[in-house]
Amino acid sequence: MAWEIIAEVIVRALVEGAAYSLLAVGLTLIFGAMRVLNIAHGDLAVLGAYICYWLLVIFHIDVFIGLLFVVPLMFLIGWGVQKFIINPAVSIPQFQVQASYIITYGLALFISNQELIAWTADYRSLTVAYSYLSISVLGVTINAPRLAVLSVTVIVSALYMLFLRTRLGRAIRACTQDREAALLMGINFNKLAGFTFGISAATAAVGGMLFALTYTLYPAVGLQLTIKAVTVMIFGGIGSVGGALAAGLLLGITEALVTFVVGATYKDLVAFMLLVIILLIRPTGIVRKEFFLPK
Amino acid sequence: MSEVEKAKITRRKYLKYGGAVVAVGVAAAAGYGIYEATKPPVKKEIVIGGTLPLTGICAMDGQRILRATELAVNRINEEGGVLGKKLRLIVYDDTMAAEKIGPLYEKLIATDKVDILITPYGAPMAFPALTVCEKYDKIMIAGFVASTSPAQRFGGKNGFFAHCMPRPTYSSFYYSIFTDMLNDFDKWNYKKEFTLDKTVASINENQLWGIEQHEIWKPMAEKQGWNMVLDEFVDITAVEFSSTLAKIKLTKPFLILAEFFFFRCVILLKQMIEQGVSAPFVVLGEAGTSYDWIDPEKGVGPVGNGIFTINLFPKDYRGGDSEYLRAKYKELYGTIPSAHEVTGYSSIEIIRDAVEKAGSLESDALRKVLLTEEFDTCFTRVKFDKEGCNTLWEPTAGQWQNNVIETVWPPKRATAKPIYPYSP
Amino acid sequence: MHCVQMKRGMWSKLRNFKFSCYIIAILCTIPVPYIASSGITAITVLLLMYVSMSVSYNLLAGYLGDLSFGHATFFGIGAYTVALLTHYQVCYFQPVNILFGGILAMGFAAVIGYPFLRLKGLYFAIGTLGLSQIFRVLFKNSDFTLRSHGINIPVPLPYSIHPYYYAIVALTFGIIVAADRIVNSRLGLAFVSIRDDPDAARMVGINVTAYRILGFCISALGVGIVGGFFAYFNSYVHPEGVFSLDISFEMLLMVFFGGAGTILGPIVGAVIVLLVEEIGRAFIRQGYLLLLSLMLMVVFLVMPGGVVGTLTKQTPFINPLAQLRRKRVGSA
Repeated sequence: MAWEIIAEVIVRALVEGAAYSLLAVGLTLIFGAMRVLNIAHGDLAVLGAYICYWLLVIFHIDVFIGLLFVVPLMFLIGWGVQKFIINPAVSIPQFQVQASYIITYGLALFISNQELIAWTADYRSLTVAYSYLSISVLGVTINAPRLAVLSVTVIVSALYMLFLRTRLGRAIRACTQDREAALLMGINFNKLAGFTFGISAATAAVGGMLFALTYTLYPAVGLQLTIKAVTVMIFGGIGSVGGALAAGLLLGITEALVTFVVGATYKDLVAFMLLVIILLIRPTGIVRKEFFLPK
Repeated sequence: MSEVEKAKITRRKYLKYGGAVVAVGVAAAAGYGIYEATKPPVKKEIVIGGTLPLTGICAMDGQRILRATELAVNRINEEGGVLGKKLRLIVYDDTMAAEKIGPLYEKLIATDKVDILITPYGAPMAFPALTVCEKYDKIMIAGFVASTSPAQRFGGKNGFFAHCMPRPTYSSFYYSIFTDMLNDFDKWNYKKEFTLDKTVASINENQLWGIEQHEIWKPMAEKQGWNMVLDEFVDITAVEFSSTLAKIKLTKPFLILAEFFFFRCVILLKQMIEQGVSAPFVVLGEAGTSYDWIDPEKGVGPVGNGIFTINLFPKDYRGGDSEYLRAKYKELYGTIPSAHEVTGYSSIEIIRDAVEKAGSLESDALRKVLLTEEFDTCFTRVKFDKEGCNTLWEPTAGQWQNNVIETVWPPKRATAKPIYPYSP
Repeated sequence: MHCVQMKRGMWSKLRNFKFSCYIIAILCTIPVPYIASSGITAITVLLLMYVSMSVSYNLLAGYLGDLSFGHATFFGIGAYTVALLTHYQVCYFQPVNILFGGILAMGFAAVIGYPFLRLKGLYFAIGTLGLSQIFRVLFKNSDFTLRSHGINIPVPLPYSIHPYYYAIVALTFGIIVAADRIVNSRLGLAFVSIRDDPDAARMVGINVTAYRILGFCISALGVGIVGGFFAYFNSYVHPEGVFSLDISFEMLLMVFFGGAGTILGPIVGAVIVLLVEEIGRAFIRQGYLLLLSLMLMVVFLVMPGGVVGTLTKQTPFINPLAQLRRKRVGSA
């Protein structure tokens, strides 16, 4: 009896971790390739979730089908943000770091306040027809939306893995590892940057929608999501997609087990303690990859 | 470059620095000067002021309180104002940033010349504001501040009056009302085969109100024979409750008592249904603070029926301006008002009545009136004790039935029978 | 002979000029409580708090090049030291408590400095962020720090804002002068050389880690002292309020908006950001954050070195439209 309950806890923790992993994957891609920390990442995720919410509420399109529309839209928005806002800002190398922080922080503030105006401050739920449908898998009852979250995460990660094997993906990985060498090899980074940001924004939108489906949606949650995504990203290793996934799941499970044993009030402590410990012992993350952080 | 030229260049640089400093200083001074010159409150008005979280984390609650407060002020002005003067409301957005509250309230009092103040949202924000009131000897009427610790230091004769702050000595309060209801189980139990089992699982948020109420309630409940099978605190950033719910499943309590912010109640119920966690009586404390609860777009939808919650604005309550509030709010915003709006409106009612009875805006006169007189507001009847707490509030236990909150206890206020055991 | 005399004259003239700048600035701030209402004075106190925090933070972020996302940790340590000393009735003398708060913050920085300062760049930033959140949760759950109740500090009545105001004026000028002295000394030179090229600095013989820990501690001291002052000014200390992300990010914003790596930068940044916030808050009830974010983005796009950095020609203005055409995306 007890192990069934623990299995339930672990499965749900996996789902929670999966939602955060997806957010971290986009962030790690940008930071790896462009050295830009996108503080507005969580807010882009929330924006995607809000557009899905609109599609659900106004047109009654299911959220996963709505993603087919939202993902390209967020890709375009991400591409536009990179080209018009981020690119000019990071043009001078010695200000790249602070530019990325300030500009993206301003963007985050801007997006969350626009959301406040457009969708008001009320808390929104993405309630779909199968929200309360429970499925029993190996003795563990799980919600249909949560199963969908898990499946979508698996699918998106698989897509990512495939993508990183393509020419474009390899180019991005090359830029992550050593940009000078990549430039010398003839990779045109300008075209790559917009595309990378677009993919990241699209992934963020998916992650945001999954978060909103499982929990709730309000304008101010963007920054919290960004912090969570950054934690997972560092834990998993910057620039490593597999690392971000593994780290998210690992963090989710650890948090769940610790709160089960000790008490739920220490949940944040677990995540940040793990982060600090990993930083002190092995800053490059749990996945064995060297990452060269210039400066 | 010769020495002379170098000296000139560096002097120019420092002149720039100095010029920048002076320019910034002059601009700041000009800004302040213009601000003070253009905003002197006309003394033909009574100014009511405060800060509310209009953006940021608790934006929904802050905006709702603001809506109702503005509604009250507009109505009073339409009816001719108080003592012949119109009311003016000044509300700043504090974005739930605690470090800015003190200076903002000082600005409200000293620069905007506010006469009476209303609290920010929640006690951790109210403490610095109350300190400022104490410094300037001003009166503050509580909006949605339901903790008792501010009253101990600032209440009553020290200028703070909180009418939505029940005290255990006067009545049940947010936590105890359901244990009190179940203590009387035999009196209203209509399912004779159902027996009471005094086990309770208590989940709280780790914030000032939560831990304070818990500390008062726990010894009371234990003395009444309640067995606390689970006593969990959850951080205010938490959204995943699976481990806590798993523990509830293991301990099988009779009563689940969760006092969370509204949106967390939404998340908690969804996860409870998913994990198959249930108990005969499920209390989600703030599920009654908003009519969004049974709205599938904003809350849990119809599955939220059957949940017990504290009923802060019973649908049959007719005191004060409650009818007007219901009608006007529905007309303007399309929904029924609930807890936050009602506390916002009622604080303005108290201010109006107190100023009229005192005949002046002097703090001493107002204090005397507030400590001795009785008030009738849309939220509750009010009689303050010497610590500024309300002796006349009678909280009621409610339950969501058929998409409406029905009062189920105490029996003399009940509009419907409680439906139990809970089954989603 | 002639040149040497010129040189001596030039330096003493410069020092006098800077000195007289300080004197003018102090003279400008002294009469404020008498000519402005105490509400505006309170906002000025808030402003000066942020100015001194930004100047301290600038030592770490601007001159040493280590950005931290969690400097509110030291603010909170300073505030809580004062609060706990008062609550447990150990000491009531304000300057001692505030100083002790700063010293504890500095001590903590020294303790965690060595393991943390081996990290660079984003790793260090997120590490400090994690640290501030760890403190937040620990303080919220510890009975010693009164958990989420927060600690109340009694206010001496009758109240006048003058002592608070002059205390923060003194603190701010102390911190600015100290920062100026540090920056213009060999220590400052070491900091800047570490920021620009740590390997070259190591080759010259500078112990990079030691200097970074030193910079970390000095900035922690400044922020801790301001935290202690905040505890008295606010009369209430709550873990959510003092270990918050808002404070950390505002420090970051003000320093970089104004111009990191300059003395005047954080001051100008703090003044502009806070003034825009407060004036916006007063006149536009809800849209002022939009205004602030637009200002941040637009100004920073054009002046990436910060307001002061660009205006003093240390960095160029950039024309974002030209950048669009030029399509450069930074270098390795």
